[in-house]
Amino acid sequence: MLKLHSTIAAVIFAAALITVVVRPWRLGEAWSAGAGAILMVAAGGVSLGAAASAVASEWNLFLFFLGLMLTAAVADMAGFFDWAASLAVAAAGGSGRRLLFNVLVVGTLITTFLSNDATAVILTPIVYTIATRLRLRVMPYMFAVSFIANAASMTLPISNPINVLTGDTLRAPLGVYEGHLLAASIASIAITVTVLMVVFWRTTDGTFEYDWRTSLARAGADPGFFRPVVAGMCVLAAAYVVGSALLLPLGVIAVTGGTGLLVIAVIRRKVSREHLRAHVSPALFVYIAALFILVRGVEDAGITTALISGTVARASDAASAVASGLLGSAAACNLVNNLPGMLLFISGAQAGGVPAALRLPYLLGALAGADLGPNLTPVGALSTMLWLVIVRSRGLQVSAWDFLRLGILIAPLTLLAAGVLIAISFR
Amino acid sequence: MRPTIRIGVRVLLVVDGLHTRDLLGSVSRTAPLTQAELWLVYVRGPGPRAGLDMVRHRPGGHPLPPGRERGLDEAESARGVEALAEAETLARPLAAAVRTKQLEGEPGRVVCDLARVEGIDLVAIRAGGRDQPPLGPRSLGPAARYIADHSPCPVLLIR
Repeated sequence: MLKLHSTIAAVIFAAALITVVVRPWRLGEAWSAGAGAILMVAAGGVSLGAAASAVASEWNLFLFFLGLMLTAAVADMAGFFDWAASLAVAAAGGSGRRLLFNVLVVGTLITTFLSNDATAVILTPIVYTIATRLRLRVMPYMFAVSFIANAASMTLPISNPINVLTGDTLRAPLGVYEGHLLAASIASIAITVTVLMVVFWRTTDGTFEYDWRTSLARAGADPGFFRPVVAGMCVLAAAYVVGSALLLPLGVIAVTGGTGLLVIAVIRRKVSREHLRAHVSPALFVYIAALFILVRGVEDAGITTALISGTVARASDAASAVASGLLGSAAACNLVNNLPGMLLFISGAQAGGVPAALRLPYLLGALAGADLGPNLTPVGALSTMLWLVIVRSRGLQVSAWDFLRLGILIAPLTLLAAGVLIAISFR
Repeated sequence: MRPTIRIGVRVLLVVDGLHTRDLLGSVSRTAPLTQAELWLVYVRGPGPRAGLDMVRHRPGGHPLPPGRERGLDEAESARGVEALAEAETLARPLAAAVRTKQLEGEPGRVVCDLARVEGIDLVAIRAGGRDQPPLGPRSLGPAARYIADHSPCPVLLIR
């Protein structure tokens, strides 16, 4: 009976994730995951009460996502991202190479304080527009934003929502987090910047003329709105650091900050429904909630414990636990994307799949794998392959192979450096 | 001995806005254009935008705000206009007549279609792609490969 239960849960879980990745008929991820979660409950893989509890227990992550989205929406309304990009162009002094470096710096800062999603979703189109307008090659700058968004996403607990999820499990204060991950994060950023600068050294040798004063003035066109928003974001960044140090729920801080920024927009009569619609995605909450239910189903069936026990079986000390977590999660995240991948690892470790003494190194290794691993393929290996098939079938030429070739260079180097440095931090 | 181009021959040069001077120099050195009608064509291809969508894609979807979408369109269009204006200025002293055209679509396909419709006699294009990172061998960019395979007239690939 238990075996049948496990099989049903595993089949539903796998089918849901495959549908999420393959996106048949361009079906949104929320629909696929949502249908899978309903099936999981209907099939008895998880009770309704347990499903509700699985979702409710992650309230901090939901609030964090909401806060991030509100913050990004208001910052975009105020022209903060355009201003930051204009600053990068101004500091480049007409050199395409310096612009590439500056884009990497801006991407690192935005990722560190506003998350990797803000960098990929908001900064990318701005950089695309600027590179196009300046008649530079576009793709090196796109590669830069895409790769740095992942490479810098380990810096703070708020730099990637997955960090918040892991932090909630480990209850590790900022000092412990940075003690193990800061050096690895700096190394991964430095490697990514170096590789991209070397690879694109020749192709970004163009020069440009740019009226950065006009552009900067246009970006912060309404100082009465722009300045309070930037000040609010600085306060929010400081609150994140203090909150991480004191183990306060980051979701509450994020949503308080995001709401405060929205209030500024309301007072200044600058609220843009278009920006809110573009940045605040209700479907994302459905997707995450459904993932929690699906993972709870396989956890109750004992699958995650077995899976994680398998990856950690040969780990005898902290260093080997770091390596197991890192390699396992990097592989999982490239197969099924990083949020469901990391959820499996956390679930398995919590359910007893990892000895208590090795849980911290194992999960920090897994976190590094989930943060840096996605650089191997732009949107997860299967999704990337599917994307290539779709766009090529329409006769379009897309740069996914070029992403893959760069990823094969960058991801192993950053994962290796991170693994070694995290392992050393446990000595 | 250099080949000569007879009076009234139509030569189509695909302009990318990055290598115009070199491309024009190579074409005119290979086959003098003084008697030719030179078509300068810039293509707004879907590749970079598809790449942008791929990088931005996240579960739940985040559509571009309309203002941002407009900005992207304007930047792409302005890039084409500027690239063609620059190419036209450089080409005027070299060719008997110069025409410019901005097209939209998959680059290889729209260039071949135009060559067929307008009775172009020679298509010239840069052999390498525009934006690929210089990793691994790459003999031809995707547009050059398509044109080499499907062009209705002779093709000049320029390194």
